[in-house]
Amino acid sequence: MPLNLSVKLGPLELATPLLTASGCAGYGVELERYQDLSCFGGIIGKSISREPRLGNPYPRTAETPAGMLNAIGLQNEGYEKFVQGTLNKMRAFNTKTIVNVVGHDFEEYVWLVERFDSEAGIAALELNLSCPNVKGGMKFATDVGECERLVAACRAKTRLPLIAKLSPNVTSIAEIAKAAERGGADILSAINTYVGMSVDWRSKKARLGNITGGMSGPAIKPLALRNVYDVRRASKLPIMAIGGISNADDVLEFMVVGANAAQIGTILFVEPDAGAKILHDLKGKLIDAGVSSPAELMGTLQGPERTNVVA
Amino acid sequence: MAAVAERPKLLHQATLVKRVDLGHDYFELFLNCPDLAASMQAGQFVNLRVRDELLPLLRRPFSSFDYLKDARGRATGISILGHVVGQGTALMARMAEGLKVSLHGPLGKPFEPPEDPATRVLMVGGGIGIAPFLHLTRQWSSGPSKRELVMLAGGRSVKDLVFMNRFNGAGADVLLATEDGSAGVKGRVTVLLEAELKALKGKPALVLTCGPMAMMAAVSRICQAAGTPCYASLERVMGCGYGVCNGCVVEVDAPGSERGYRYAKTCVEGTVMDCASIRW
Repeated sequence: MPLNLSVKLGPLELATPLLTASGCAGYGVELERYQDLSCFGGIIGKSISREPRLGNPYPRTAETPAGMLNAIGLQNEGYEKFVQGTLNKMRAFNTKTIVNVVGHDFEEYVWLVERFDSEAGIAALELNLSCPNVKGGMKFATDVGECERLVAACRAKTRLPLIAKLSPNVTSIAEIAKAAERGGADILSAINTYVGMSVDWRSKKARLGNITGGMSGPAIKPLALRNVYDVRRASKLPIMAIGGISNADDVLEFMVVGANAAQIGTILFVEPDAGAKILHDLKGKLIDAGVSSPAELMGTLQGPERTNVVA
Repeated sequence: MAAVAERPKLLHQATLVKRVDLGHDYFELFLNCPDLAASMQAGQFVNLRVRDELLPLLRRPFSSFDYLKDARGRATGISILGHVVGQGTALMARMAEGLKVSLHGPLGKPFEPPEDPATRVLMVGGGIGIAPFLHLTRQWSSGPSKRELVMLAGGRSVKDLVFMNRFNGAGADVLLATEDGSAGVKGRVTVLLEAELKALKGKPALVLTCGPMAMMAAVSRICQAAGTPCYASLERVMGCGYGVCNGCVVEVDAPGSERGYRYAKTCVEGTVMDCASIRW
């Protein structure tokens, strides 16, 4: 039985179910030194805004047990420079280019989506609805009405596959997922980072210049699994799972709860060649399990009624 | 594919051949890794994976301390100088000899030798920040990069300088300063620097510094006042070490930009950077 690693997420077809998580891979340029980028179904770049952004003051990262906090503050070169330089490098990669966009406000998101829609060589757009490290960065990810309104306005400006990246910092991710679906998103990606803190009690200072930051890494994987599970039950849209995915078993766990693809992030800081390694292991595990396509595993979580309960 | 042939080898499995406990929580790891050593320059760093587990998660950045060669002069590896400050370094201080250790590197930009061979190179280090200067001394004390080398080493006390005997015979004049006077002159290392700069009497000099930010800021100020070029190897909290996370930034001048500065990634633009461009 030949192994077919390709996955179809609505209008977006990917050669492998692995992607880079926005903010953890730059724009793919550095990663190419460590692996052939064809191990990824797509490279999702760091968020791009209309104007360049300086980012937050140092310190921007703090390690936590099996995880880390970051508060980079969306430092990026801005639309103009990105389109003139970096985007061309991404187009030359042996994989699909997905651009992640972020705005200060409604108009900035819509402006960016409209511009990128007319650029060649972009496979999809991901909306960063939920950066926790900038002021006002959360409303589109936490308010059902705002989320739907923004996604709908972006939808109206592009025929590219539109991915809505959801935040876990909400009461019900299921309600936000439904709002993004109503707005016209093609794909949901879940989850962005959890807002957290790290403090040095001796100096009485937060370990991040921004005081709070986004928590990522293996420590949040169980939380991400629960969120993806909730999103799957709330929406029929394809899901890209994100949250501490560090090896092939993690990818498969997320597929069982309902993900169609997986974005890897923080593990790339530790193992820059993690894409190639995870894909290699994924192939082996699927073959060993007699599974011919990752899609076969999607949403196969068994309910409690299937467990053996001694009466 | 062509791209594969161009890919540099940056991930290495080194073997820990020897671990030396230096006292006062300092240790030195001797790592056999010929491929890495062959391309490693003083001032560059390796990002070391403490163990093949997800806790601790992130790699730890270390300068090369010593540069190891075999009897025929071929590079065999590097040593790194460690100081126990947290979970990662505590595990490293107990690493068993023979262990395989994953190293990512060489990363960052190295120290560049001054063009004029008559230039006196003043290396100003504080505590563990002295580490890259042993490798630099090995590199610049003979051959075409041979320069006059002076190591100005500072610490709070002699306990912060337990590794200084490793400079014996390496090829640099060594002067010590401790705040409590337990070794060398009593006072900060900047006292030594000011005296050295005065004694130059017009001779060209280059200052290289590595240590706590406050010390490097003071060194930078003194050099600016004296008109002496100065480069610092910055130690910042790093996420990835290779330019993708944007964590390890420092404010540098950006003339013409809206605010006049920008955040530079020290892992790729440094860690060795021109002190004059840094907003201390």
